[in-house]
Amino acid sequence: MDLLKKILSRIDEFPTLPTIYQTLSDVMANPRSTASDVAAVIAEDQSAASKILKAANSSIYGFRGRVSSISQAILYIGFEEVKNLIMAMSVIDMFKRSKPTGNFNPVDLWKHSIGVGVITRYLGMNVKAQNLESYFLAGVLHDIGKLIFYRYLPEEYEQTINYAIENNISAREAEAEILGITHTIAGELLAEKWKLPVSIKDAIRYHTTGKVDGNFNVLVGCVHIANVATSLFHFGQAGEEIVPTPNLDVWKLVDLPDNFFTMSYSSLMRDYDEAVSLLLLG
Amino acid sequence: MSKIVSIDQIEEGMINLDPVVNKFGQTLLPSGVKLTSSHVMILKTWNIRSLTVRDENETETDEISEELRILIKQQIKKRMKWTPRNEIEKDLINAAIKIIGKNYYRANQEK
Repeated sequence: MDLLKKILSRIDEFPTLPTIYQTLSDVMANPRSTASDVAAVIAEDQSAASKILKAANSSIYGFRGRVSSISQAILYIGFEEVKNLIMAMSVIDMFKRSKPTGNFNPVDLWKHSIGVGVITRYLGMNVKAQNLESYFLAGVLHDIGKLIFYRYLPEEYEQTINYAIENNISAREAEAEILGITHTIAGELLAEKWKLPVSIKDAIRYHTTGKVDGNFNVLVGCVHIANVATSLFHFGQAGEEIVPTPNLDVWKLVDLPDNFFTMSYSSLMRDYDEAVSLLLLG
Repeated sequence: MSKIVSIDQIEEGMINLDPVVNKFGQTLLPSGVKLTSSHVMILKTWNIRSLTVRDENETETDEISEELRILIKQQIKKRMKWTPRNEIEKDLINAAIKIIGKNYYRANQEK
């Protein structure tokens, strides 16, 4: 299909990762680096520094005003989580200024993505996940493929979204029919270009099914459920009206108590509101 | 709704609302747990000073009107191609009704 070729030919033009993220990765890869080396890199970027401080003190991490310096933030929330938070912030900023067209509004998609990030991390904490530091980022980036379409095929994507809403089908089904490529595949291409960790790439590629090549994976399962919950909760909008169907096997995998969501909904609302004002409006 | 209590005010049977994580990222206490004295011991060991628990006195004000509840439920159903198949899915939809209802009240208050 021509559109598929058009997307593939433009991969080289996909945005590159911001320098602060690259520098941070280099510094962290050096085993001799200390928290203050990492803090020095962050401090050079004033907006990143102030957001990291606010995030560390927000209800999402739960340190409630006890974090007063970047080195402290790194100590409390960890090297990897700080790096991933900077990544999430940079990618949001990269696409934030795009204007809405018709039924597709990038700000609403970011609200949805931040909602998925918050809920994915909350689920991760409750299932005692091993690599909790990737959970927020995986949720925030899960729909990044939609922004690729929006940037490189704006007219075609607007048609696709309208088609999905008119026919009451998911964005993914409409993409497959009209574009011949889905946002999960486009997102995977970007993840490869950015050399993102496999866990994040898998979450982007498989969040609609919750399974990776037929196997279960706790992170992908949590993003899958968070995506359903965020859609039901009306946190932002993902360019489709339809609520995705949860995979029954994923419920068994994450094994939450039967009253999990009615117990935690007020925390989720609060964390979502804080994260949106921090990452999108701040 | 929720309230924040200090470790010394915790009573047996209170329900923890926010997961408690230590500085190594390990979850000490997931949300939804009924607190016992052994939980308090763990929290003290990690020098955790306060917790968010469910406020039993405020649950009434938390409820949304029956009319709004039905309306929201209908709207949600229109967007769904599936019906809840287990307890957790029913719970998820109930949480959605509460969230949308609260946001609706909140938006009206701002006007």
